[in-house]
Amino acid sequence: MTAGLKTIVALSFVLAIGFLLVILSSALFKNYLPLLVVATYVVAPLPNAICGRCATTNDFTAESDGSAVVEFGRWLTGFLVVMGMALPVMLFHCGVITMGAMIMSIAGGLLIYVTIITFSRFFQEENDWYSG
Amino acid sequence: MPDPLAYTSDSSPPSPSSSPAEAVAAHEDAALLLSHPSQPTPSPSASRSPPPPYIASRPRNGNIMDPLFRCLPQSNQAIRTAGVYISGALFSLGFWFFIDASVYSKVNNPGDVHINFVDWIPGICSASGMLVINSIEKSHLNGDSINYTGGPSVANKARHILFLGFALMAGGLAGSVAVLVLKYVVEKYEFETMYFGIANVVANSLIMLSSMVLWVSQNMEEDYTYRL
Repeated sequence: MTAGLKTIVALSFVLAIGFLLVILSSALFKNYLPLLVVATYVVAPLPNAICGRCATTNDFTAESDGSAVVEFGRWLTGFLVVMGMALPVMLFHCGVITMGAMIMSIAGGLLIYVTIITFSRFFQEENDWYSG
Repeated sequence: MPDPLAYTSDSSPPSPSSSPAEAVAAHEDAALLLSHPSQPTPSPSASRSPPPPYIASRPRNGNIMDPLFRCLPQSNQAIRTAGVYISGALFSLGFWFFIDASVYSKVNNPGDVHINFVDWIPGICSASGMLVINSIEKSHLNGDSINYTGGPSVANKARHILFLGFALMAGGLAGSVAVLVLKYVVEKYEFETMYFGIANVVANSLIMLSSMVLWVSQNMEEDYTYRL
């Protein structure tokens, strides 16, 4: 109980720091394009969740390990995670945002993503731990 | 049993008649002292004799890369999963390389050459080739050659479609090189303009690599355990 409570408190602090970094990276420079990183990393865990849900409905017709839907979800997850890092680098390289904004948005986005992943690992039920 | 310090105090080598037995006794004493659990041993690792060098230089499981490989996923399913993730990451990297070139061309372009639809064609070819290749059911490729309809067998049809996919992907890569050469290198542009063509080639190579990783990781045998 206390361990779970401590985890919740720590994770929410990390989440707040991540959002702070991303918002600072956009608000300090009056350029709100780095907020796209938040959208990317919030969307990033969704394909695995949705595809895991879809795969469990027709579990008997699927192959022994991982149907195509699940693998497409994983592929999309890899795409989105790299996109969250590539987007600020691209914006910096094109001169839209500064280097400080790039670093802050990448760090903040990674913190947000790690928080979401850790949350879903901690509070998942035992029977469907592989679907997330 | 005499004090071992006695040898050093009178600085004379031990006589050969008394030396072996006493040495064995001292050895047994040391072994007893090491093996006795209640006796306080200040640093067991220091007092233990060092192993022979041919054992010390060899890792425990015989492979010098063993600690590295123990970090890797061991089961086949984990390798497949990692391969799919890596494939998505590589595709994303290539895609964003090209998007970077396009945005650079739009936002702060030093010259008057822009990225237009010609530069997009190789990427579209590569991505559609990847879609075609990975849409094929893998079990159809090496299926039986029995045909029920009188036409070519299912395996042959699947191989034709597979060839079409690989041709699309290779054509995309070759087309990106062609665009780089014909549109940028021949005209002898500056590097900042030539970056559009280079990014196109890199993007298509990464998409091809991503497709290869996905293909290999999906074609792994089910029960083949990955031993190194």
